[in-house]
Amino acid sequence: MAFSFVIGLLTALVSGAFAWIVLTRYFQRRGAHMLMWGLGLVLYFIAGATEALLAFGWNEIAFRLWYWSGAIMVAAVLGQGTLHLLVRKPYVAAIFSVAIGVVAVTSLVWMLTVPLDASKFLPGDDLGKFLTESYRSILPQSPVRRVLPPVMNIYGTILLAGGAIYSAYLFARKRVLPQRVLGNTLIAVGGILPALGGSLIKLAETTPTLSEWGSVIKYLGIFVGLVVLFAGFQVTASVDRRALNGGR
Amino acid sequence: MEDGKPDVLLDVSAAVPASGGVVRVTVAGRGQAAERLAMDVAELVRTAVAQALASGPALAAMPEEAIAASPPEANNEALAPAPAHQAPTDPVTAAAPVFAAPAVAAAHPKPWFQRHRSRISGAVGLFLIALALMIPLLVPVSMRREILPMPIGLGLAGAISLFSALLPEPQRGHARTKSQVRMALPVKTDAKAPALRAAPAITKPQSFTRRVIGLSFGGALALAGLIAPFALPNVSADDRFLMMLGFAPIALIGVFLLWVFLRRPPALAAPAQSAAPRGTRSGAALTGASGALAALGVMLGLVVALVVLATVLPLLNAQP
Repeated sequence: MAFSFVIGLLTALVSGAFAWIVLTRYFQRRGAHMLMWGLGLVLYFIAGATEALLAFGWNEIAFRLWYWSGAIMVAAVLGQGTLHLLVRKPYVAAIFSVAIGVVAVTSLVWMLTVPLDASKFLPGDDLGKFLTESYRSILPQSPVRRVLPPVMNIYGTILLAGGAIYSAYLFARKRVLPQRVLGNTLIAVGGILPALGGSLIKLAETTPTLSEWGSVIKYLGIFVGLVVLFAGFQVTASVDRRALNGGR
Repeated sequence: MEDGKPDVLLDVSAAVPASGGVVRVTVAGRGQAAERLAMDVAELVRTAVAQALASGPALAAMPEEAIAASPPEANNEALAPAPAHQAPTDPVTAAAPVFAAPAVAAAHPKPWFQRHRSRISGAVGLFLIALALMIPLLVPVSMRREILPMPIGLGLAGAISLFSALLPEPQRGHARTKSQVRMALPVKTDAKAPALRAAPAITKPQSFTRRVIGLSFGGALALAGLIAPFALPNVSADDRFLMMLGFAPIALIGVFLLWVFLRRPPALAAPAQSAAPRGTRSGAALTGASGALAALGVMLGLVVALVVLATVLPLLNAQP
């Protein structure tokens, strides 16, 4: 069994469970930030599931969905949830959500129509080359491919990790709710880990020696980052549960 | 104008002998919007008093000059503490129901381009959108890529102009008026108070025709914004992406228009809602959140539709 399949499957399972919890919470309590995080985790699930599927061999739809959800949208949508949580004026976050929605639709159309070179696909046995190495050859060298994923990922990572760091700093400064400090720190780490792997892969385009390490860190970063994110969310949510139970 | 003091002030008090109540109208504000509003109110009072004079001898004692002097003028100089221009504060005996007559608001001393602003905006918007649609069809295929920003820009400007034309009148007024408008209604309450309270809200309700036109335009714009990027065949994925981004504002304005006109007609004449207490989510906040959710719903709907289309179209094309 290929390691890439195991990583993809585990990512899909954890993100699926995480998405279920967050969306259930959204339907109970509402809140645009919960909805955005839930959708972001659904995208995480799609990315993990399609990655596991691609470990068996080439599948065009799976590849297109993997790139759209994992490389373009997931970070931005998760970051958008943090924006909804932190920005005091809801219409500001709403405007950004509309913009992200427009990019989601247009990038999906782009991803579904861009020509792919399936002959460049490498099987999933080698984690250092699978997808992260071959996607550059499968996708055409186009301006949208070069610009869109970095922009969306930087936007999302800054919001998700930056927002969590900012929240942790606020709670730490006021010396209240230490669980929130810990939870937000974990969320920040969980947001940064996949971005670290993505940055290494981007650097590998110009420095090929980084390619293999970048791929490994990317896959592990995606999974470990998700687990840390989940832990951070649970730690933060435990404060709310205690508050609901009257501090017990 | 200094220190935020009003440069337009109108203060009219009218005693109603039949009920013993006093109607007091105060307009204080800054800038042209306040000036226009003060002129409207003054016109309303003058017409009401003139009608009352014509209909009964009760106002015979009131000097005609004082009534005619009621429209204020803007004072552009630095304000003294006293109001720059004050209407007669003598009690004017007038029949209260006259204030509620909608006909008195008809006389608007506005320039013609302000009176017909909606029509002008609509015509300009339609013209620009027509241009935006025509240009890609008229130019040679080889030049389409180069001239692409032009129809996108024209379409966007046209959509904004149309949106401005279709916006209901009261909302437009609210958006541009920041003057302080206070209506101090009967000091002594009586049976006629509700009628008087309703009188200042001379608003045009959203008519059925207006809604139909708004919905049609909204639908047309939304469809145009969605379909236009796919009108040109043999376009690369990157170009299509840019075209979709360019036409997205038109589609969004269309969706927004649909949302505005599909809503239940707002109770425009109702008194303003009381402010939410501090620390609670205000109505505006809830509107913003529901707007975000609506936008999200539209986004998800589009994503689903596109995935279905992307799955079905290749199958259809594959058939001989």
